[in-house]
Amino acid sequence: MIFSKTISTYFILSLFSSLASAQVTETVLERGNRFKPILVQEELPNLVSDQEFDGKYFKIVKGKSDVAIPISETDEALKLRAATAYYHLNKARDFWVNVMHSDYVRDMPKITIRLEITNKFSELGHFQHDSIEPQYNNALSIPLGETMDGATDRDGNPVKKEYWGREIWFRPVKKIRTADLPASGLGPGGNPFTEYAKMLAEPIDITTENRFIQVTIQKIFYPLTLTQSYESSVIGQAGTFLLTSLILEASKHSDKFFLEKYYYLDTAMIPEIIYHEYSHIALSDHLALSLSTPVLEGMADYFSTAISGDPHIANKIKKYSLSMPKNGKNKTTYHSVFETNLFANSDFVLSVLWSVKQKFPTIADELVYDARTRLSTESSDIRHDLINSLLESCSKLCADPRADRLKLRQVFEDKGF
Amino acid sequence: MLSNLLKKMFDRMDATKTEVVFTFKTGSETLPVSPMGQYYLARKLLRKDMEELSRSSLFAGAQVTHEDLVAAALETGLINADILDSVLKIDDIWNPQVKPWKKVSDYGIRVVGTATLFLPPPFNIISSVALVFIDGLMSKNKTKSNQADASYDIF
Repeated sequence: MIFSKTISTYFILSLFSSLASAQVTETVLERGNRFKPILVQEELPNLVSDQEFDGKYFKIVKGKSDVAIPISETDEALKLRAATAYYHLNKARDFWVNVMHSDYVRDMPKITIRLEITNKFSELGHFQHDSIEPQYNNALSIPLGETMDGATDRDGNPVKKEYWGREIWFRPVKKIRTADLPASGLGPGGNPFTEYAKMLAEPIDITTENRFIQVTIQKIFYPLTLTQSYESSVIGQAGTFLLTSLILEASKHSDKFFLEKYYYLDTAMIPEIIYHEYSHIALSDHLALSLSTPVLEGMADYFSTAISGDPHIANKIKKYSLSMPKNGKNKTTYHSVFETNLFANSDFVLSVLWSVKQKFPTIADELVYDARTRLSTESSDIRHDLINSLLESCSKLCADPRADRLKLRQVFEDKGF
Repeated sequence: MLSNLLKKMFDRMDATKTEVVFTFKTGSETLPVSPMGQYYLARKLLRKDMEELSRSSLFAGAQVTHEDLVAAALETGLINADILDSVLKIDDIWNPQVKPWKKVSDYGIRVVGTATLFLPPPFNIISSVALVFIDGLMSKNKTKSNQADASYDIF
């Protein structure tokens, strides 16, 4: 009797311990002093097993597998990615539940996190075929879905109905020569050398023209005041004009010298990208995960910086990224081109929202979070919808709406709207 | 009365919707004004209201200044000290505040810029290059812009 009671107590305790958080400490990438990446030992919170990266809120798997990556994984690089992603996802969830008080996130079922997955996402079938354009160097938030009724495979055989929950996919890292990347569509001459050459060419041309007029007038009316021959002076001015034009034209072909030779992005190893992707999921109660737009990406960038506490994204992390980092303090002012999806991943919207945070440090997170309720992924733009929505949020949440809306407008004015 | 002008501006800024309507002989065209367009329009209309008030018999041509409005708004309790800076800034579109060091540097650049015209080549080019480089570095920190003239907005 006593023996059987002991057995049952042991069984209950074992069951309880398997449901409670397992204590596992692993090496993860964190931000250290001056935002530099460091590898530190951290306890992985909310794990339901000490055998695998499977927690109450996140399960980390490799590729298309549904089995969690084991803690004893022998591929050290994969294990580091799994631990880093798992640790920072829990940190991000903690922010959304305890700081933003998001019921949507609190009640969200477990999310599957796929590392090193190259398949493209299909809204109708979850994974596109392995042979279709393998994807690298990015991350993707996946909305929940199901396979289309009556779907068939390539051979015409019916496909088993499949359902999937919200997921985040981190692509494998791959070094790509920058020269092999598709053109940005912006045309040549977008480098700082051309910008400076343009700034220089205009006053030099004006000076050259004025000098030509001056020596010509001297030649005609005051020939004795000429200190050198008229011809050599004109040749000198013409040479200057030609030289500046040549420099300007040549600078337009020097874009490649201002780019990194290679492009790569190890998304699962960059905390701010992990926060960014999770923020997409957290905002998806109003901003559907259907399209990459400047407003949608900017909102996710903003909350990524709010979680990390620093206005920079993917900064100082060259070992894991050679892509362009984003800076919330970017002083760029508004241009209508920022509304296009080509600029969805620029840092302009982030810089607008970060300016709001600098003006309203205590309520900015709430303002931006509330603004999402009046925005939509498909139709919202920056100049009308984002600004209007933030102003409306201020009417609701600001201590002195009339005064604070004026201050908010002056923030937008400084950003060139 | 002075305070009311500022109140009117705030009401215009905070209007739920602003549109410009062109009525033709046949039909009409309605253009929505963007949130920031509404802000710029309200500021411009404040200026217009001030001019009209100055010309009224009540003021008999005495110029109404932005400071007069702000003082009146403070006295009547329309605004408080917390918002004072922001309200004063409304006038910047017409009277931008220029810091003394900026005035000196602008003057210096103008003088040196003109002087380079009289230098023989290639010194004129070298000076121009240096000047534009310095100006470029200085303008990098400028965030203020007057977007009221931007082609994508009507105000």
